[in-house]
Amino acid sequence: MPRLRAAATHASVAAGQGKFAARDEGLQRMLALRCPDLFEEDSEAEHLRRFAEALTMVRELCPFAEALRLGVIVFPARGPARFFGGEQRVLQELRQRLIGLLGEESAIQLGIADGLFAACTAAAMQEIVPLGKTQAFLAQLPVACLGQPKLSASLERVGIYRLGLFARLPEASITERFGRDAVAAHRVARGQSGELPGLRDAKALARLASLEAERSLVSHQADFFGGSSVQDRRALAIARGVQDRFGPRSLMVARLFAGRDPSTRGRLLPLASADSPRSSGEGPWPGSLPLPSPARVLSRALEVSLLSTEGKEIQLDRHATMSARPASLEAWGRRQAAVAWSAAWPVEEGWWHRSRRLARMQLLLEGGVAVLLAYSEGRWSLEGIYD
Amino acid sequence: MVSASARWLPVAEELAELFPEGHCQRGWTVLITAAFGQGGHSLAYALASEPSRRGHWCAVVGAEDPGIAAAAELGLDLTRVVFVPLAGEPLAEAAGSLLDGFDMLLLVLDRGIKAATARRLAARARDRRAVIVVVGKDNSVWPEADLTITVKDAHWEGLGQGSGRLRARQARVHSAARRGERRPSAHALHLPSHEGSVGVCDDAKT
Repeated sequence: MPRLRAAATHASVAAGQGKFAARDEGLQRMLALRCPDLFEEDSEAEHLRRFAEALTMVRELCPFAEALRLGVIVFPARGPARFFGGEQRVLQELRQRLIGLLGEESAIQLGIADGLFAACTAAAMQEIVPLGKTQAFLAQLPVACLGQPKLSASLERVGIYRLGLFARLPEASITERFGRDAVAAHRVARGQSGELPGLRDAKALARLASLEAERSLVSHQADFFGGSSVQDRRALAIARGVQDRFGPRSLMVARLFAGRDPSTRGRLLPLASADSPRSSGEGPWPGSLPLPSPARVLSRALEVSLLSTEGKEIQLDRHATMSARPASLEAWGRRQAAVAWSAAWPVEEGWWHRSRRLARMQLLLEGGVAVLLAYSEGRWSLEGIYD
Repeated sequence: MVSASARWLPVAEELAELFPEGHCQRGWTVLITAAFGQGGHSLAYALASEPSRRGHWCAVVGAEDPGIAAAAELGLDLTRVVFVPLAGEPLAEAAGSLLDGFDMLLLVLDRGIKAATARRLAARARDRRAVIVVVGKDNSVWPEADLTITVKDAHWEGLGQGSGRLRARQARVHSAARRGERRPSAHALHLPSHEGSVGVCDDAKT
């Protein structure tokens, strides 16, 4: 089953990055490009114009390329790497095209790493961070790289000079010690997220967007993903606009991963840090749960009580046999009668499971609502609703 | 790859009977009303399946806990869908922007929406020739919808008393268009069937 293995490898890379992660965002391999000559706007708006041209050109290589700020462009590296035969080749191709556009003397910095922040930093250092080595790469960076002077000062005062040490601080202590704003930076340091606050310059991007709106859309087929139409580009441009306005997690794409846990099989990832939507072509994975899947999957399972007629919590023994017949479910502050239910299905422990789920069960309540329950260490929780 | 028709969006064959002309007119707002857990979400994903497969971009707006595997099973092409888990004013604003580049919006409105906002979005959908599919608990969520599909009496088969599994659900569905000559109709709906498809049952309409 090569496809299953391939997806499993990908999932393990994503999972392996956040050893501490409660929820990782599936950091994707990103290519970042920096043109320091274009960082600052000039009075003639010449830099803005040239940057807009550079962005258009990069979008010919990858329609999902986006600007973070003036002079900085990022895009997911996987598709182009496949197309050009490796990451080095993509960099070569990109550099050649940029020199053609911007001139030999122009400074062009390229880099590849997992996640947005690491990629941008790698570009500043002109590095390709090998797959899986991003955490090590981040660890040795000085805290000043976070671009947050107050946080850096606080960290250095307590002897923390590098991101590695910052990352090792327990998540729970960060707010108390360094303030709420430091939490996002901490997640970035730990390799859990690529979205460092301050990476994007919304105002500059707005100016860029209005410049782009003046130019006509070039409608031609890009080779990259087997055809990227005018509709694709338009939809993605609008989507990026929403994301710029409301934040990275306001605009998500869906991916199916190998796995049997409803909450990890289908996942949402922010558009910026997700691979091109096209690449999630793999179909639904076989799992221990029969179809259909629940149309609502709670992002955080809800603790509930499954009760017998005497009002006692139903327990499962090690054969997943119930201690009594389920009579009612207490959830959302209400008690509803149980009408029908499956046996409890023990779940195999897979390497991709972060939590120990022992069993799952389908339950039909009076009123016709069917839910998916999970049982773990004596407690029941509600994972999904078959809406 | 995109459907050539400028006037309508395609609809899965199994759902065509719910629509006056067998497909969904561009610019329309379609309201699906269903009580919690009665299949409203599944029907919405099923309505978006054919458009997404034919190259039309869809956005699922306002769903806090979308079942992605379920959406894929119901036929949604995940490579043409985005999910926008916003609420309140941001939801309305984002929906307005999205109508500019997306042909179909699924608006999940568990908490309802202001009437003025609904009207504004409906006008924008007409203007941009996009379709809004609203999922809400009853008619009051979007009283001026061009088509209202009401899901009632959903019942699941397949579970016993400690055995079996959820296999299929049937529901009764009323479909009523706000304008036009077609009278309201009632149907029996698979939601899904044993094979996993969602659609009007072949056997006798009620």
